[in-house]
Amino acid sequence: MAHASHHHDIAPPKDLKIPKLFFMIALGLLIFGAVVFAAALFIAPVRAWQGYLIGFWFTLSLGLAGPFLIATQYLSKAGWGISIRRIPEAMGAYLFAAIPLSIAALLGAPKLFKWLKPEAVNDAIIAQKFDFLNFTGLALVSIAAPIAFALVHFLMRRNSLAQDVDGKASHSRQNILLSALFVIVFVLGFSFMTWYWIMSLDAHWFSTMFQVYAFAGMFQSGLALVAIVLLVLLAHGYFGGTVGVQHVHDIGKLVFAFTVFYAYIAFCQFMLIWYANIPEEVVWYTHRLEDGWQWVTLALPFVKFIIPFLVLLPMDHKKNKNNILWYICWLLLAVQLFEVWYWVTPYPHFDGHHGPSLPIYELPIALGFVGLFMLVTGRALQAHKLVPIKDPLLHESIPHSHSHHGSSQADLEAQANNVVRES
Amino acid sequence: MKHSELTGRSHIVEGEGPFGGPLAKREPLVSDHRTWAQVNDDVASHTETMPTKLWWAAFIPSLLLMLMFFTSLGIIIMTGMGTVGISHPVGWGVFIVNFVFWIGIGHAGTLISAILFLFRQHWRTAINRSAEAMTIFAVMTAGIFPLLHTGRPWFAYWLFPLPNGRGPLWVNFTSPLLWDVFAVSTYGTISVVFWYVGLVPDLASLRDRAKHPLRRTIYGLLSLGWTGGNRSWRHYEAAYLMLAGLATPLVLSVHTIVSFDFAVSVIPGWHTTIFPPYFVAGAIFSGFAMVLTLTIIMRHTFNLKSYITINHLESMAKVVLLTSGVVGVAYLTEFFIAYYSAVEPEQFHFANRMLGPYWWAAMIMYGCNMGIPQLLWFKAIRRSIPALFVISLFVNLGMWFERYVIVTTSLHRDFLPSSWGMYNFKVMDWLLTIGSFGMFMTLFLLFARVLPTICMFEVKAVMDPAGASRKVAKEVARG
Repeated sequence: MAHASHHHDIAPPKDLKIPKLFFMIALGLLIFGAVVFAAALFIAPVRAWQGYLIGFWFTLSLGLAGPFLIATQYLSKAGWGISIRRIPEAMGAYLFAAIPLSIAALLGAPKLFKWLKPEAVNDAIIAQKFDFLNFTGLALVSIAAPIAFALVHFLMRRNSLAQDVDGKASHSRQNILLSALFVIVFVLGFSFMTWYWIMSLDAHWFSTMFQVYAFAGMFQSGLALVAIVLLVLLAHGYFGGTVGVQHVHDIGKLVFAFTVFYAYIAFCQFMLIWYANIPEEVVWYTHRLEDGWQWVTLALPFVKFIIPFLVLLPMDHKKNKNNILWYICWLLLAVQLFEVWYWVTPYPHFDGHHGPSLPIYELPIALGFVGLFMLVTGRALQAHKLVPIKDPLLHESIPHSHSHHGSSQADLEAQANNVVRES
Repeated sequence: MKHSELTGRSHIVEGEGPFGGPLAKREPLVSDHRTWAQVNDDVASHTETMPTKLWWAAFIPSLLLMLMFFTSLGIIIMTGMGTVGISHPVGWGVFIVNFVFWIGIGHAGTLISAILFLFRQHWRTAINRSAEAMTIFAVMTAGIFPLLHTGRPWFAYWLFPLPNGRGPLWVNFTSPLLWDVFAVSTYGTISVVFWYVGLVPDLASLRDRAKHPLRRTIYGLLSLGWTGGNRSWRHYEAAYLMLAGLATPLVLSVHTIVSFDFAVSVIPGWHTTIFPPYFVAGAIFSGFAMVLTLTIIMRHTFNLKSYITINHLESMAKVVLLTSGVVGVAYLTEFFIAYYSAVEPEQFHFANRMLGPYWWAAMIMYGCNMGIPQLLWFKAIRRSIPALFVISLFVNLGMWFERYVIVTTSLHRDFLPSSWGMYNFKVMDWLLTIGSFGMFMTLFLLFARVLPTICMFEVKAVMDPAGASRKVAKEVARG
């Protein structure tokens, strides 16, 4: 495939300059979240820490989705996604921020977990789990896992950036190995983090599917974020000729696929527990089918699966016709936050109230994390070239405007205009 | 070894990239500078010549095993279920183990043809035809077992929700066993249609090459009047994409529902929420192992080494490694959650699995599925054909034992110790299990004789036009 000769006329990507307003908003959210958190620590400390956990988990998930997507690309030797790789790379930059945040979360652990209360020794079931459910174990995982995530991501990112300068193919080969390492670290770290921070909120309950369930939501929303950033950058023409509508379509297809995957996992977990109806297993769902939580439980299949599935079914919608992909991805991001809230808050063990309450503390605190996420990833995105211009497989990612995709350029501009109007 | 020219790495050309960086050229999918014309000759000739001695050497034992299989089925139908070893408390034995094993084998075909097609993985073109054939034969083999297990297979039609004269007697719609009937029959149907649609253009090639009028008539009928014109291809492409889309959820659904057979129960070792994705991964794992086993044999006996190259085998090895990892994570999660659950029967089950009377079966399962495939981390092993062949056999063995462990160890220790027992294979269990391989192999060998084992037109589409046209080849030969 002699592509090289066609490439001299490709418009290079531009240097990204994110408007100051973006960082102002991010900083505003961060300060707002921090202030609400500080106030809530005195007014409703449990809810403050629940808000912290929601924000932390939501942003950690987005941060992990980036390098995970990159790792799958390297391991499958995929060429199509090279020119948009800097977006998930930037998302991974948040993993550095996640280290101190994860350690700080340990301060709130006694407020969040029944098994850390002194009276837990009287609970016959929890008492059997102390080999796992203890502060040392929690601290070990909460420190080691984010460090491991960030470290492997750092090494991969360093190779990717070095390749921009020296154009050595050996960086790609190293990143294939690092990708395998990342997947191992991710599976281990994410499983243990999920078991400690989310599943053990109800220390009696267990499900072998739970870390897969948490992963499904994580990757679905992570892909949605990639799509959103891609659409914004594309609309402003930052990619030059290196990204085309095919990339939007491909990411759209992945969003669609992992929407189905999420539904598959969530349904199987629910169905098996409902069908067998074993008391110690159904508690997780029975808590969420009473006191007003049933409406949330009923809403989730619609907002996380039925609506995005039906809407994204036509090909044009996955290509963001009429900005449909854009709206659906915002929906998916929002409902991921919603679902983490649904995982964390229905625990009546501490302050006595049962039903869902307006997240007046939780939402601002979570938005504080979103602000920090925006700051970190925004800076990471504009700090380096927007496209890994010397990746050996880049040529497979560049759209061929003069080939049989004759309309792609026109499509692209039409979509670009649409998004500009939005943002 | 012709594959020495393939390295499994892209060829890097410095400074040729779009912005002055290096440019990676992938290795060709078809090696040894084959031309388009040679593809037809290489693939179709096996259906046009008399079978080789090697083929007979494989076919005759397979046929004998199949006859043995049918005999044992006859014995069960005539004499009854008591001829096999299943009894209280292990009421699910050889039938379910073999059913799940063969259904699992049938998963690689659809994965390769549907999901890898949607993922634009062009290396699938060399192996999709034989993998799809495997799927169909595996599903056929699998289907026999639950039918026999009903005890009265002549009432098999009772499995369908037909209006009937038996009073208000309907199938149990809340039973996953019934869902299985729907899932497997849908899967079988779609697999056959998908496979056949993909065969049509190649059947037309066989028709056009046929010398004997009878042969021409048969392949002519089968190729449905394929002209190779623009309209035919347009319709074909649309149909194929649609079928790929339809087949994709089936890759997940079939083994998911097979896993429900176990997971909706309240039996320790069966009731666990991770079963659906774990079974699907296991099915792809065992399916790819079987594809590896068979394609390694096939490329040797039919001399298809230029098409099923070492790079193809390495790609399959990677899928095996990946799915081994997924299955391994599920295994470990089961153990962890059994501890974490603090539920005594769960903990007992997993301790009993490792230390009880069937510890040896668990060792084979974990060793072959989680241990041995780790060798595939090394590129040298992924590119060593003897090593791959041996590993794929171990995976087949391990995955058969996975089902054996799940079925047997869960049942042989009931909640009440008074209901404990053992399950031992009798002669009939062995005959059924070994015989089913005979049926599968016989069908596969027949397929390899009468139909093109490689999708010729798709392989041509992934060849480099600069090297594959006969004109260019002649010019090269002339110098």
